[in-house]
Amino acid sequence: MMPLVKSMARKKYIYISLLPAFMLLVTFQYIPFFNAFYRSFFDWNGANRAEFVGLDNFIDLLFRNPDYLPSLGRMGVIVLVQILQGVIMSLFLATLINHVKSERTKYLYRVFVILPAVVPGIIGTLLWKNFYSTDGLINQILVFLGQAHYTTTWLGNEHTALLAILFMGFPWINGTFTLIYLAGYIGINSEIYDAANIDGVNIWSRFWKVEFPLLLPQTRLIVLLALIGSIQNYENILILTNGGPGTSTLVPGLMLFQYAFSYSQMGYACAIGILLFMIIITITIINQSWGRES
Amino acid sequence: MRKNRFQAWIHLIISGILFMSLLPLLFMVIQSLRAQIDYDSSLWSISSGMIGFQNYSAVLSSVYPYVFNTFTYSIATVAGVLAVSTLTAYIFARFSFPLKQLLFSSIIALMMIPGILTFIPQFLMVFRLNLLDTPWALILPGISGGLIFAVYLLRTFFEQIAMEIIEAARIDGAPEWRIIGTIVVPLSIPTLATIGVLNFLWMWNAYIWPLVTLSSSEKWTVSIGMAFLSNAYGGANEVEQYAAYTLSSIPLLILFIIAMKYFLQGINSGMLKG
Repeated sequence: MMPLVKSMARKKYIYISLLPAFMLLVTFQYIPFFNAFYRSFFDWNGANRAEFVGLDNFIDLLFRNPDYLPSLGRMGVIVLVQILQGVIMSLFLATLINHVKSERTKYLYRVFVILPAVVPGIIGTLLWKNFYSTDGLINQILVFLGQAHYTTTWLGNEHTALLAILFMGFPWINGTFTLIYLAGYIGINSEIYDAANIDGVNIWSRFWKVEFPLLLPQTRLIVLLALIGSIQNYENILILTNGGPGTSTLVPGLMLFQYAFSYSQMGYACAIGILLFMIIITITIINQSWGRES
Repeated sequence: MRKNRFQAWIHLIISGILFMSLLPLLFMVIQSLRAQIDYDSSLWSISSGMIGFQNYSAVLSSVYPYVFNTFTYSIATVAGVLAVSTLTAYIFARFSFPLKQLLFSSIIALMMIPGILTFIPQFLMVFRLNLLDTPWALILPGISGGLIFAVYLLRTFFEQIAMEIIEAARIDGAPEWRIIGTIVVPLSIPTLATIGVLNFLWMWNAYIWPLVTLSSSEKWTVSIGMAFLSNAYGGANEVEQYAAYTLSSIPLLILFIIAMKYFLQGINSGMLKG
């Protein structure tokens, strides 16, 4: 023990130089992390009133709260759809771009792929909110196509609100995911293409039997990112519908927000966060073990 | 011959998809140049002419503060992340000391913590530190968050810098900080630029965190400002809103043009953060 302490004392300048980072991390990462667990066992308004309630927050969420389980289901739907959107569209676009012959055009396309990232995310959301309004672009297009009977208040109708959220962002091109796939394509050894061509394989089956399997690491990564991202993200819903009409677009993330800032139930909100964290950790662990097998 | 037909189709489909992807933005810019009366009547008429500049000058004074604020906050955050992460990563890369592995692993472990778990406690921490409604509410947590990935990236990079170069400088009697400044940093510029772009983007896209931590409207960021404008206007004056949106996109567009390469890298590694 003493030699350790002596060795540390000699190198005290090193530890001092690590202080800025660790002071920030302890204050804004470590303490909040443990606090989330600690406070989830309390009925707490964030300031003065705190009452230990043990597992009651969790029991309430899982068994008594009529909104939580449905919101979890809705989140599942959104997560699934966003994974499909992310993987399919990005893979499709990346595959097409990869087959472009001219390098200059390829570069140009890559620029256009990430160009939407130049606009702050909220503007995209606000634009779509506008598209869904009564005389917004969506309804106007429907009228133009002679389908006026389908026009509706997309965000104000409890039957269509969730669909509107799911459809938002069409054509669902994610710049980052597309770039990840493109990078994956670059990594594919061109000898494999020669081998496939010699065997006289056509493009379609070449894709499924050669390219897609080789891009499996990228696909796994994108699925993981889309999964973890869509579980936590509720900003779109907050802006477009705030969970409504009624609770037709409510998701756990948004519930956390509402319980914390509208109802001042910080402990309860932390409990929601813990439950979501459990889901995410489980998924991460499953993903790790699948990774080790392959 | 068949190859050319194939290429033609590919270009057509790609262009179609990209066009639909950029359609909302095109819509935004085009509508921002029209008159409200025209907008109210139909999506196409321009009978009052393209009075774009009127819209832009009308919203300029409200948009400018938001842009200025967000720019200030993001520069401060980027500076903080780069400075602290460079120092920290260098120490982990080049020195050995007791508990080194433990300390480094505890930083990396933070990558596994999803934001939603720490959101409320972080808010309450900022509250307890009396930082609510100050820029520090954005900057300090922003630096702490950006540090994690930055330290990881930089340490990996620093470890690869040939020990010989650094040893030679040490033998020449150069003080450590000199080594960092004149050798290590210049070599790391691509990685530093990527980290910079990443954190810059984060601040410009963040909405919920600034929303709950900044109550004074003069401190608001671009994202809060745009959402506020769209609510404040209600269903009126959409064309001016579009002008506001377009104006707010300009700073990032400029960054994009200057640092295109790092932008591409930054977006890529940003998502890898998980």
